[in-house]
Amino acid sequence: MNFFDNLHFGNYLILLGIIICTSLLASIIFWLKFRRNIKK
Amino acid sequence: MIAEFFKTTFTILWVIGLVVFLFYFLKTVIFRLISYPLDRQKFAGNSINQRNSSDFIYYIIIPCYNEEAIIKRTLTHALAFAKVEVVVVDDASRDNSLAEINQIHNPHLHVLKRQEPEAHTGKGDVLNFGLNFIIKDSQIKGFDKNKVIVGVIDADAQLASNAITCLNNYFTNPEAVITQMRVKMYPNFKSLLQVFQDVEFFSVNNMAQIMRMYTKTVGLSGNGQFFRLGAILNKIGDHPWGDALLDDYEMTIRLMLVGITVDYMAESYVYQEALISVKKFIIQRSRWVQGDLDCLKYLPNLIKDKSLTKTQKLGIYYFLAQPWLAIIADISLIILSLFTGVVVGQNVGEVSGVELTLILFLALTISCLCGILELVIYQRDLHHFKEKSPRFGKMIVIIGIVSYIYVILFFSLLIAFKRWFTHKNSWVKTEHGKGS
Repeated sequence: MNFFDNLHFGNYLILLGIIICTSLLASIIFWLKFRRNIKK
Repeated sequence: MIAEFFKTTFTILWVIGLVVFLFYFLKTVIFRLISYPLDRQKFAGNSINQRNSSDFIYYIIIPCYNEEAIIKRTLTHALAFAKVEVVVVDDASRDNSLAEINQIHNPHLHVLKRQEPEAHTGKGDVLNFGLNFIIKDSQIKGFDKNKVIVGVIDADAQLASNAITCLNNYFTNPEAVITQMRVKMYPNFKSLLQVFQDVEFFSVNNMAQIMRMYTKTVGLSGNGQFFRLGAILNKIGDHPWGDALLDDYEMTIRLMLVGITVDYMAESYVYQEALISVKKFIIQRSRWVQGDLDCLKYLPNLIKDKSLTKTQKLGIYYFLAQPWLAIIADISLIILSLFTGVVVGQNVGEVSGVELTLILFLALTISCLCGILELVIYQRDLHHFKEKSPRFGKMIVIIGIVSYIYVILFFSLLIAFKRWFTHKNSWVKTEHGKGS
């Protein structure tokens, strides 16, 4: 059995990639929505 | 089967914790790096024009309890600013604080004493006591309440040299009510823990506060808050501070509930002492966590409130949820690490040294990415203010500390939750100036 399959390290790596991309996308959307929301 | 169930459950919890943390962290970085340089003039104290006024009277409240080691230095420094009245409130100190204070003879220094048994009832009461004096004193002297600016600094604090100029710039705008200054640690670092605290306060918290300017959820810290007396008296009366352990955030919530949002001042700051002892650091943080948990009492009012925007409510909810998110994420991480350890143990013979090194290197790099980014921004911040920067070697170690500080903070969480569940609210305050 492949080491990565056994440890599920590869799966965790893919999961981590999805987490980072999701968080980054969500932060960019948040920034686009609020970047002009500051007192004049 | 049970092991699989636990593994799946804790993986889901870990994912939720990590997404929330990364989302929050990344948006603060984006606001700091892109929006702040564009909107700098809209932040407190940065707008300079010909009409800027300087005819304000500043009253600075300094709470003092057993501060003999540093109180004289703090008062001397605060009194060096023009048009500043310093109000030191001694909360029945048991050391030589009063003797130290009495060595200073200055007409702008006002020494207030709280006597036992009324003393030692919390920082909120000490600040309200000081404010009460300021209201009376400014009335006697005939000052316009809208020209009276009240500040709070800690007994170990020093304002940066441009502080009053920035505050004058800010309060010249008649609509300006309250601002929180950036906070920095004194740069004479004796330990890596102190450097970490500087990174945390000067850069990481700064990024969060910048982002909160856009969501109108800037939080007050205990140190470096300044407000217009008239506006605060009109809106929340002469006892603005409550009795929660985290008096500053409690005041933030109270202000938001009456429609006042705090502004943030990023171009001036207040220095404070960083702790050296890991034990005192853990205790300090558990007090803050317990204070955060204490603020949950405002949750029903916040939910019912109609004046706050959804974003403001979410900002406060996030702050209140932080201890819960942190402890769930930490426990998940411990359990998942145990599972991983067991699997690694079972496969130790089948793994080549190269594979293992590669995996460890990858895991270490990924876990330090946020820390690396924070240190790069910290370096830029220090350079901007011409502040002394720690040596490169130290900075590399700091990346590790920043990235793995949650291991130390886990103990703070455990202490705080234990005390909160058992209703233990008595705390020994952080000592200053004694090599702590």
